[in-house]
Amino acid sequence: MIKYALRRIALGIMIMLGSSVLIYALILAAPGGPEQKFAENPKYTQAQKEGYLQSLGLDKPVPVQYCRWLGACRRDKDGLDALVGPTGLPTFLPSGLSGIYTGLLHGELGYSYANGESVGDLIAAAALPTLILAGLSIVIWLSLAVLLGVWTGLRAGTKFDNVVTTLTYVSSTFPTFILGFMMIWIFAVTLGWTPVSGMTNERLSPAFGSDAYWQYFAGAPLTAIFDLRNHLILPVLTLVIISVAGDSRYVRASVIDALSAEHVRTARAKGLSSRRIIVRHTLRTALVPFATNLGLAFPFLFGGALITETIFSWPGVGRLTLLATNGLDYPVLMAILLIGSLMVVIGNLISDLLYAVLDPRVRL
Amino acid sequence: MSAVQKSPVSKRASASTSPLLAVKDLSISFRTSRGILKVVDGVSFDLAPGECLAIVGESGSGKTVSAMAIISLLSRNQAIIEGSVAFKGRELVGLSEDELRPIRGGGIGVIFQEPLSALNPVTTIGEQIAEVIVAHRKLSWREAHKLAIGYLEQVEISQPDRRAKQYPHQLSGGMRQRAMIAMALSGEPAMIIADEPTTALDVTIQAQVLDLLRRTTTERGAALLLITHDLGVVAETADRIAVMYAGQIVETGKAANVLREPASPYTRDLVTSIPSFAARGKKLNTITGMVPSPDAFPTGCRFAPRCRYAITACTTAVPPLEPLNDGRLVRCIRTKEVLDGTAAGKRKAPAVKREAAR
Amino acid sequence: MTAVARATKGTKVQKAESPWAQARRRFFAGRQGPWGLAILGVIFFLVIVGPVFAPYHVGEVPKPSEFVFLGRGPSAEHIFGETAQLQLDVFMLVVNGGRASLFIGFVAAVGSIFIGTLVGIIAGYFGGRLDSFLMRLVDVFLAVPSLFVIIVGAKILSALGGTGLQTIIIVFIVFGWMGTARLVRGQVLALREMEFIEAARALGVRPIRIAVRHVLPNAIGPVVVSFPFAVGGAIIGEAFISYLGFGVSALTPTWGNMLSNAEEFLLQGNWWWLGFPGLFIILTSLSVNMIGDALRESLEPEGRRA
Repeated sequence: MIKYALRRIALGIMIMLGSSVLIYALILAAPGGPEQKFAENPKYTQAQKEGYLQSLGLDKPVPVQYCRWLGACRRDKDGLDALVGPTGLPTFLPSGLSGIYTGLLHGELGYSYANGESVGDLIAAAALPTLILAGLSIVIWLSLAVLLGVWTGLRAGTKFDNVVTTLTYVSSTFPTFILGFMMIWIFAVTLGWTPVSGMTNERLSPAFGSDAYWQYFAGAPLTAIFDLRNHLILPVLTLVIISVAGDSRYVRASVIDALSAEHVRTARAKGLSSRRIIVRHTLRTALVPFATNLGLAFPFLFGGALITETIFSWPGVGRLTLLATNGLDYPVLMAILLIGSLMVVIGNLISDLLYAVLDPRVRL
Repeated sequence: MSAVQKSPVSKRASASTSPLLAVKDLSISFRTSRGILKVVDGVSFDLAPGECLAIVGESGSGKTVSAMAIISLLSRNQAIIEGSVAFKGRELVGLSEDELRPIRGGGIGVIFQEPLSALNPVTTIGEQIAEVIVAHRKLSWREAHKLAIGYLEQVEISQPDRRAKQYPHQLSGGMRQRAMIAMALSGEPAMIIADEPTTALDVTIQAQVLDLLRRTTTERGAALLLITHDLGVVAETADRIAVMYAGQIVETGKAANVLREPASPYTRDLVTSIPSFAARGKKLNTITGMVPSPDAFPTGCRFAPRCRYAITACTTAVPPLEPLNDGRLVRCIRTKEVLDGTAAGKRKAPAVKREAAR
Repeated sequence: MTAVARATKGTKVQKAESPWAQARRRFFAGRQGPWGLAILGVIFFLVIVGPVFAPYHVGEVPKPSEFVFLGRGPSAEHIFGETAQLQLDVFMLVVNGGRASLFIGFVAAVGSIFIGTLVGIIAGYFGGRLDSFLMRLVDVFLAVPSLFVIIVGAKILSALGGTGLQTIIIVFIVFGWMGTARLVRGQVLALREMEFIEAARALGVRPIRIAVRHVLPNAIGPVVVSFPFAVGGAIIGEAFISYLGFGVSALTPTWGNMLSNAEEFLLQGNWWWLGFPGLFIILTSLSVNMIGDALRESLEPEGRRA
């Protein structure tokens, strides 16, 4: 089991490296960059331009640039010397060991082209709203999906099941952003029950996440929480409706499959109580595939709510991505893509490990 | 006849006691997209305490369906069961799931053909046996687990305490089947239904497992209902045989009699088609044609189209089961001639060996 | 007459159906498949033939006397109403936008499935190092969160100067082939071990013929099932990306950029400019899902219930 885990982790690291190359290549192909600033200003001479590029290390060949960006190559040395840090240990080791503080591996994410803020700070500030929205939605929809899926799976073929299945079918084919529009139109615009968009009421409180906001929060916690709740209702509802539909159908199918499995016939032939048959023999095997869904929920906490965030103007990672994309703010974009990949890889790892825990046949 | 000599005489049915299981006119139909198909038609047989009855037939004869219907393991939506199944005098047809529960496993145990799919892959062997004990014998889980190891020992699995903690995929095919036997025995049932228990096993293991099955049931005085298509298995183990063809029973009787002197043409063809060393070099005997499918049963005797003794009278009405002198029942209007050897057939009938081919 | 013929005379023989005929029968026997096809068919019809019925050219602007800023609602003249500002006929926009959206959907789906199938067959059939490498490549592409990378990719390509439709299609294909590749590879791996392939090899059948005549027909089942879903996904994806402004420029109408343009007028009361393209997106998505599910059930029927 430990061997299995270690192998999957090693694979994950390899994949992260690969995706970092992919992301770097993608950004490389993009237009713009520091040179852009210079292209706009005809007053700079060619020599000044070259000097600037050199200071940024942009005159070196691409693989070297990539290596420096990664943090596996020192910025102040060339060739193979660049692979060894001042402490004498290889550069890809953590900062404490290698003495290197630059590059991704050592936590340097760069600074935004737009306003010069540290990318790390920007992302952290955006991550909290996303975490709140996505986290709340995941918890709600996963529990509902299991409940609904098991309930309909055990009663497959009944009228109740047919009604629910038709409903979930239709809502699972709904594009998220159109549902979002409809929700806004019906509940916010026509009925006026909830605010239209945003995370907080601008007239009441400062922008979420700023220091001013936390002071305001400490001062009037209940109002702040109610305000948050009002703004959360529609986006969470949108996410939950669409996701519950798909996941509950998946659980239902697993339950139906498990019910017709041969070992359930054996359990019936043994005269076991129906509770034991359902719980120990059917659900136990039916929910194993669902474990993969749990793992996949992990990356959702970072980037999955992009569509919803856009519709509802939620100040999260999704909106940050859009702003950065529009402005071609590469340091921010790269960091977001990388962190996103990391979450996907970790999520896959979690599902693989969960699967191995639940299904003894998988442990090799 | 070997089967007759093996089991202890005292435990076998002397027919003075009422039968443990009495199946009368059992008919099973299925709802399909092509309408309602009657797959099993008016099947009757008895099982006495402690005896071994083998139901023999080709695939599609309805033998497995009949056995599964006894404890109502068929899908309730699709299967329609008519007739009577009486276990220890109590009628089983029409009972609800709750009423059937104590009988399943506790009164009647089941062994399935393919243990890898019949066993729960994510539960340990020990637990799968223990849950039967807990369900039927009102013992605690700890005691049940201890007993489970005991049962594993009885079915000759080495290191039973270690094996009990393992999962089905970690055992070999033969061991898995033994574990299934242990599972069936643990409810201490009065009879066990074994559906093709050795078909999925290697030939070398088959004999061991079969032997084990017969021994453990006999030791407890439990009856055994053996479903199989393999006449070799039958010859070793069964006291009595019922031969099924196309949903009907065509012959029942003591194993020795049926195998040595088959009275129905179908059984005759079955027995003579077994390849024997003595007949090496000669052409193999086969039964021409195919088993009819349930939506196309012929009128009259269902074997008539393939029967070498068929006459016109055979195709007009289904022959009833008639008793013979030695207590057998046969479904054929020409039995007397077949047994005498005076039946004029379309083809020359191969000689039936005096010893059951093995 | 032979003995067999005599013995089997009179017994009914069941007509054998090829697997494709069986699947087709099952498809049309259910409710989902035919309805899905019907809805999609209507949409197609409107999109292709529609302009014939409406007398308006796409860019036609009303006479000054009929000037209404918000645009008039659905009426006999403009069955889907008018847009705000320029008062263009929404029906024409939906119809023309539909052409673009459907085109993108199909081409993107065909492209990504084609590449995915190619990769999958190569990886599955040749195995070994090539297979490992290709599968790691799939893993890497899959690791990057798709929506993010598609947005970024679309922006980069359009900044480099691609015309709207092609950009989106290319981005979808480049980031959409992985699922099919895995699927096909799985099928090929399973088939490779099957005895009828071994038998064909033992009989001396040439590898190409094995690949085309025996492996391919059996492997494409899941691929056929995934096709409608791929189309649906591409259409919705395009809609969203165009709505965000990274997709097709507003010069070529698509359902997506109609949504983007119409959004600000929704709150002021013009619901038809947003509503009708939205409705068409929903219906397309629904019908395509129905077809996909019906295909899946007819090619691999559900197991019996206990």
